[in-house]
Amino acid sequence: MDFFDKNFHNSFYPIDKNIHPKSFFPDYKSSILRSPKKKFVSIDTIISDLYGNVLDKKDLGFLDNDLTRNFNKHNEPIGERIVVYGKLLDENSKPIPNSLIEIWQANSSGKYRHSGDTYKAPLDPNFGGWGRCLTDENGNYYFKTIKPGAYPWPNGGNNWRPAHIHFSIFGLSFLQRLVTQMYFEGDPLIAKCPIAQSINDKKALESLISKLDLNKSIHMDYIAYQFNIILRGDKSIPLEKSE
Amino acid sequence: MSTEKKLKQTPSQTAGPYLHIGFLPKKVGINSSFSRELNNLILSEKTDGTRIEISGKIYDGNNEVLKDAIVEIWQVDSNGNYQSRLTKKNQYNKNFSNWGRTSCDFNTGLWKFNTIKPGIVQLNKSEILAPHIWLWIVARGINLGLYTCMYFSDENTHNRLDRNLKKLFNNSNLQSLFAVNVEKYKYEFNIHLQGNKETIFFDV
Ligand SMILES: [Fe+3]
Repeated sequence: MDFFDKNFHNSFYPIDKNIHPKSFFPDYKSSILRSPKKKFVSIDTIISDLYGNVLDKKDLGFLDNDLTRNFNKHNEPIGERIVVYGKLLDENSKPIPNSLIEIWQANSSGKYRHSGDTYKAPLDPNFGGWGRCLTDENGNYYFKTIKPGAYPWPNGGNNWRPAHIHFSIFGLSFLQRLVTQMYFEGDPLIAKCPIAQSINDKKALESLISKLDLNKSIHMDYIAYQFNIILRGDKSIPLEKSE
Repeated sequence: MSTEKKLKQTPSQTAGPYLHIGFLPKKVGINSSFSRELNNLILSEKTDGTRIEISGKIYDGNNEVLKDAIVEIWQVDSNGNYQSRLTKKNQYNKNFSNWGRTSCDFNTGLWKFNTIKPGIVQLNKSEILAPHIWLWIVARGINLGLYTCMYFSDENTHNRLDRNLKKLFNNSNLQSLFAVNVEKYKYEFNIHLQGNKETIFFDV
């Protein structure tokens, strides 16, 4: 039974329903036909660990986390040069080391290098918009990139996405898998975006908005934004008592 | 005295329509600078186990096929083991990654994995997990990644003893969890996001 409990019991805190967007959010038109209608079935028996197997350090290219150079290493892309950095933690404040983080984004004019993007803005011959890295032993990550532009999208009406970077995060378990989007401090489009507003909890939405950090910026090279990411915590680890 | 969690989870957002750039960049022509794309790398030639192909399509509420989704799978090896912080090194199959990723075909919507038949997991004397594969789906219009679990329709003896399926015998959509054996070593698993055939999704 010991074996069962340690290995096969779902030991993670539940997905917090107050924080994540609802599947069905009609202001975001694509969700109407793609949201399951039935209640999800709760399950507590699962094989959950995903430890150290998706990618090793040796599988990474040295420019994988530098989007200013990993598409064309000889010429710089156009746009505002930024570094996005932060920590990957779980709900218990425990850093998550050695976890794969993948990102993708539009270029500085708001155009994606993707056959499906029909926005009039131009591609940048020196920008792909793809990056990835592993968190270090303390859960830290960073990407060097170009600040993406806002872009219009088909959602009935004149909708514009606020500038954002898409994130895909692995954690230590298949159950911690998360896809999200990071926004930028001070962007007036966040309040008008149905995708951002699909998050009902104001504080939760704020947690997706990266903070400008001039202290981490490098003069005449880039400006820094901080974005920390919190995944489901392991409830089998006892919490420290506060007070 | 408080047992409250210290931090709040980062909320999910849809992966949007351009997710291939991040998940499978070569699919959209971004292939200049990295060594190893995570495309269907679950197996190697040395992996032990019976080779199977699993494939399917994902349908929306209008019964239209999604052509833009990403599917990831997670399964045990042929002996019922997986890599873990808690698994002894010699217990798992080093030539098997337990995890795979692919995308729906832009024209047909078909997704497909070449993998091995997962083993039976013995939980205790009377309970098992029958062979099964977890799937996780993201796409435009999906606000939070969807988890479902594929079982094998030709494993009835084991399915009857499965700890998770036992709790679902009264669910009217139970059939949605069973992949159909369309020919030898080939299984079809279609997913319905809505409608009377709606797939069972899990709150894991
Ligand atoms: Fe986007």
